[in-house]
Parts: sequence; C-alpha cells; structure tokens
Amino acid sequence: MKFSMKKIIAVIMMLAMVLCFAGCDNGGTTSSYYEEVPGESGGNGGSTGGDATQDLVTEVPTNLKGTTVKVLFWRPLTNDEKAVVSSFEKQTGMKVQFKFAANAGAPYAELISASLAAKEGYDIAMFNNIHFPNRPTTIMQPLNDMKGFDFSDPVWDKAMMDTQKVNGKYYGVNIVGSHQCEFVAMYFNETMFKNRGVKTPRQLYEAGNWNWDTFLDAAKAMTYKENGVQHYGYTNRGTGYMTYWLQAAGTDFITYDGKQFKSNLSDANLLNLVKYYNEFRTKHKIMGDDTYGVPHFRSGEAAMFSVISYAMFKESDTKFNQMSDTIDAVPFPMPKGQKQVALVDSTLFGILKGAKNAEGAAHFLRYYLDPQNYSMSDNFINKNLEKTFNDMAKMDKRVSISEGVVNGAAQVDFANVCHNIVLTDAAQVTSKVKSYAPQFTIAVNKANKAVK
Amino acid sequence: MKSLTLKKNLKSNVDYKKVISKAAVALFRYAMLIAVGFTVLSPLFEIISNSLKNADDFMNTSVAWIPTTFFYQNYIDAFNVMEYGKSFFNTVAVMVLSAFLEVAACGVAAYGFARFKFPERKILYALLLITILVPVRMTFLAQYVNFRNFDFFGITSLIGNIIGKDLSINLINTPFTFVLPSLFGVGYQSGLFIMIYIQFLKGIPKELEEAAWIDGAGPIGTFVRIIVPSSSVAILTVTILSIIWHWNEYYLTALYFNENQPLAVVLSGIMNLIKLRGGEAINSHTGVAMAGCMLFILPVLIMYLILQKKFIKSIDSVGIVG
Repeated sequence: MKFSMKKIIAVIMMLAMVLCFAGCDNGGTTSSYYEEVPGESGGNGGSTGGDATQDLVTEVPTNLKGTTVKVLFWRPLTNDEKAVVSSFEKQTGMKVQFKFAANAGAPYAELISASLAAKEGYDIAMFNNIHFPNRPTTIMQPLNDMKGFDFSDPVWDKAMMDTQKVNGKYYGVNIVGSHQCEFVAMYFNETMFKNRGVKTPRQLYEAGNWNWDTFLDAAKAMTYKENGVQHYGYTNRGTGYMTYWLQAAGTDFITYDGKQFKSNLSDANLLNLVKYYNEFRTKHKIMGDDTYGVPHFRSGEAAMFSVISYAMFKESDTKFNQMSDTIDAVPFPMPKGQKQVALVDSTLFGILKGAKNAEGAAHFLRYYLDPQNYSMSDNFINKNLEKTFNDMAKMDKRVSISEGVVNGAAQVDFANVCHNIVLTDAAQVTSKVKSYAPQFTIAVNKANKAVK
Repeated sequence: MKSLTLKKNLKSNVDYKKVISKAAVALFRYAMLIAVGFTVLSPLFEIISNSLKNADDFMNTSVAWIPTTFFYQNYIDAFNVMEYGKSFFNTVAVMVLSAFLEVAACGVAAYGFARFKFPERKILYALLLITILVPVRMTFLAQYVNFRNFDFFGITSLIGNIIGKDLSINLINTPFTFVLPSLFGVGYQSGLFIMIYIQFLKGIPKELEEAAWIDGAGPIGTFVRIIVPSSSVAILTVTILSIIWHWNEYYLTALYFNENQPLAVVLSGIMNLIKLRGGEAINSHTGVAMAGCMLFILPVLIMYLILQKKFIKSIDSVGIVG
C-alpha cells in the first residue's frame, strides 16, 4: 500500500476542509459590538402624497451631488418611503443605498456589527430606547458638531432626542410628528362607553379632566359582567408594560438624567406606583390577567387599552379598523395635577462610526423624516386618532430606558421582571421588586460605564 | 355443577391480577405517548389552526382550536406576500445546491479521517469537533468579513499589491457564501455530517478496499467505486438532514442575502412584509404569518413523507440518536 501518497492526499483534504476559510482574512477588523435585542420599533409607515419640500433640497451643498448615502435599515421600505427616497435622489443628485435586515430583532443588530467589521462604510443606522445606551455609545457618532445637522431648526424633535443624550450630545435624531414616531395612547371603545352612559376619556381629556383618578373611575364604571362575560375597564399591551404608569408619574425602574443612570428599586415612590398598578388587578379588579390585551379590546371585553400609536393606522396588525364599534384614543393619563406629556417608544436615527458620507446622511435624514413629505392622514383609522397623534407630537416627551439598560446587561429579562411583579400578590410586591436589586445594580453600573 | 366447574376453570386460566396490571401498564404507556405526542405536535396543530383563522377568530377569545370558518385566503395572501415562487427558487438554487455539495464534500473528508492514519489526524479531528461545538453566532463576524473581502489565502491581495489595485471580491448577496464552504466541507453543520460518515465508514470492511487496491485502484478510485456505492444509507441520511437544515437556516442567510432571499429569511421577516406588501387589505396578519409557516414547511414535509421509510431505516443503520 502506498501510504505516502494516501497520507499526502489525506492531509490535503483535511487542510482544505479546515483551513481554507481560516486563512483568507483580508485584514478586516472584527467589532466587539454585539447585542441581543428583543425587537425594533416598526414606525407607522405613513403614506406619501405631499410634495417634497423643495426648500430643504436647495440647502444641500452641491459638492454632495453624485455621492452616496448608505443606510442600514431594519425592514424593507414602504412604497411611500421609496417615493420619498426617489424624490430626494432626483432633487439632490445624491444616491441612497439601503441594506435591509430580514427581520427586526437580533439580525438587525448583527447586520450592523457585520457591516462595521467589514468596513462597508454605512452611514445611517437606527436605535430606539430599548437599545440605549449600548448601541449609540458603541457604534454611533455624536451629531452636535457634524456638518449637515442644524439643531437650531425647530423641526428636530428635541423633546424626544433629549431623553437619550450622552454627555450633552445627540447620538440620534427624529423630527416632530414624523412617520417614525410612536406615542403611547389610551385607546377606548367609544360605543361601549356610550352604551353604558359613562363619560368617555375624550370628553374628560377635552374638558381638561383626564388624569389617573378619572381614568380609574371610568375603568371601574366600565367593569361589569353581562351575559356571563366579564368586561374589564382596562387592559394593557402586556403585563410588562407597567412602565407606562411609572413614566407618567415621572419615574421608572431605572432613570437617566443625561449623565448617569440610577436604579430606583428601593425608592418608596416607585414601590407605591408599582403597588398602584398591581391593585388594578388585585384590588380594583379593572384589569384581568391578560398577557396580551389586543384580543380583549377587539372583542369588547375591555373598554380601554394602552398601546403605542401604530394601532391608530389602518395597516396595523391590531386591525382596529375592522371593529364594528367606534374606537378613539387620547394621550396616556397623568397623575392628577401634573402636566400632560407624551410617553414615547423612541426611534432615533444616527450616524455610524466609519461613515463615509456623514454630511449627506444628515441631509437625507432631514428629508426622509420630514412629515411634510408624507400625507399620513390617509392612513389613520379616523380623524380623532389623527388629532390625538398630532397633539402628542407637540407635547414634551418621556421615554423609558429601563428595558435597554436591564437587557443590555443580560442578567435578567426586563419583560419577565415586570410580568412577575404584576402577577405577585399585592402584599409581596415590595419584596419582589427589591429582589431584583442585585441584577439592576449590575445593569446600571454597566450603563454608567457606557456613557462615561 | 357445570357452571361451577367452568368458573373454576376460568379462574385457573385467567390471572386477573396480571390482566389488570397489564392493562394499567398499557393505559399508562398510551397516556404517556399521547401526552408526549401532543407536546411535540401541538405547535404544528396550532399553526394549522391559526393559518385558517380570520381576524375575528383571532380576536374572539372563545375560539381556540377550530376556526368558525376555514379562511383559506390566508394561504393566498401568504403566497403573494412571500413572493413564494421566487423565494422557493432562491432556496432551491442556493440552499439545496449547497446541501448536495456538502453531502459530497463531507463524504470525502470523512473518508480521509476514517481510513488514513497520519500524525496530524488527531489535531484535525479536534478541529473538526470544534466546528461542531462553536456556535455560528461566535463566528459570523469573521465569516462575514471574509466573504465581504474575499481573498483566498491572501493571493488576490498579493496580486493587487503588485499591480496596485484592490482585487478583493465581495461575495455577499451571492450563492457562493453557502456554496463555497459546502464545496470544501466546512458548510452548515458539516462537522456533524463528517462525524456521521466516519461512524458509518468505520463499519465497512477494510477487505473491500484492500481488494480494490490489489486490483490497482487508487484512493480516489476506491472511494468512488467502493465506498460511495456501499454508503447509500449514510448518504441518504446526510442528504435529508443537510437539505432540511439548509432549508431552515435563516440566521446566516439573513446576513448574507439582502436581495433574492430564500424562504426562511422571507418567513422570518413576514410580519413586516405583510404590512408593506399587504397592509390594509390583509384580513389577519397572524393568520397570514401562520399560513406562511405552513407553506414554508410543506416542501420539506412532502420530501420527508416520500422518503420516510428509507430515512428511518438509514437512521437506524447509521445509529443517530436524539
């Protein structure tokens, strides 16, 4: 037997198998950035129809003509967005190149990582509050001194952008009332309210009397049993969304003052608020044990429902437009005596490190996000919803960053934490909340390091 | 008197305790099998049920398993939203081709491991095990960079440096991201397939090969003429597993394919696509997504049903468990 020949062939085969792809690195560096994300905000799509804003385009420097802006996007573009992009390209002579993630979760984060590692020179990526502070601080550039951004322009939604500033610098932008805004609203079944002869949240809101107390009264009045079916006054997007109530009261599990993160798990005010929310289910019985409220609101088993503004649009999967009852929404209520603000799931667009056309990207974002380039009103289910959306766009904003901080440290899952707290007996809420203190401390320390 | 004798005979012939205990064991066994079977199959039942529900059924909390009406429109919508024909072709063109190449390449590599002894064998075997143990999520960045700036052993950059041009090749968005690794036996799950082959090849008598060598066949000739025809069972096992795993793969595919995406990637982003391509006209987003799942598994399910007998037989022979 010719062992030498066989040996050579075997070694060649094995080496070919194992080494061929290990040895062909072209000097590209790998990024240490990696994160798991539970999902991205979808944006509400909107629809175009309005004329592109010519004034903005004339401000684009001529030297940018012929350059390309490269965008990493978490989903394919809508037809309306395609029209806006096309209009931008025609008017500026710039090209816009998109790369899409197949879905909104981890693959988008990994697509960003991979593109950075391969030095593909992408300019724009998105982050929202559930990615803060990891994504902006690791892969985005500060925008304040960047050419192309004029932050004296009132069109920028500074109320939203301020919530995620790092050391006084913006890392992401959005525009007031853009199609990429998501506000938390209190939806209600107007028909049910009228049938029961109860004042609707809209009537209370327009009378300046929409707050936690009137909400609770309305919810109690709308909690009843009829034909063997239990009707609840309120249901939530999911038990994990108790942060809406904390935000409305001006606090959260973790708060951020623009410089530092702080865990509030031992804070008496926070514990009282968690108890307050827990009592919706345990004491007042205005809320069931639902983990997902859409079906209960759709079926008329719940009179009020809090979720972000995507449900205001016809194309949304909540399909409120298919309901025979009339639905309406008002801003999320505040504790009595407090100024009405809008709670948001923020979506911000930033410039990536290693961007090759940051200035062009700035001009593109200004154009792409401008609501004047879209005619969103066609897409709202009804005029009242549009009015509420526009009202909230003009308000001061509050955003929850707890989920991003907690999940960023990968010690516990934030949604599970909230779920466990809500479903705990009222007497054990305090101890349950405090039991998460070690994991939250680790998360806060990690986040503080990120923003230093 | 007669009946008394009969009763006595019956008592002596039938041991009631045994019968009852046997029945209890059988009952317990069936209960366990049904419970396990339901646990395994319930997600599939739920997908089928949800794929036939309309929006009202989804929002009606009293509808659990059986829809009030069978809403087949979900399947039509899913077919359109997923651009099924195009995506199916992309899947076959890239993933199935890669699967077949992998079957061949892994067989060659396994033959080397199973039949030839050389000093580096243990090290290479350890590396082979590492390819199984290290998750894709740890290697995707390096792989992406390699494919984005493809430069085989640095040869193209060497030539590029000499002539003063960047000759690196971008393989992202091309079938080569899957075809090339498969061709060299380092494709998706290749390590595991090589192990399966090795295990099988060790069971083939060496005398067969020795006879071929005496007749003048070299290593390649022996592999092609003796080993391949004797390994149909292992080849079938690896082929089916490779096709199914390639069919289901979406993680790397989602990174490598920005256009012409295979079905698994399209399905993973179907909720966005429903909104973008269907929007208001779609009756039930969840129903369409579930119908999409059914359309996705259908080809593989048909393949499995056709090859079921051979597959189970081959699994037995190769000795895969779990």
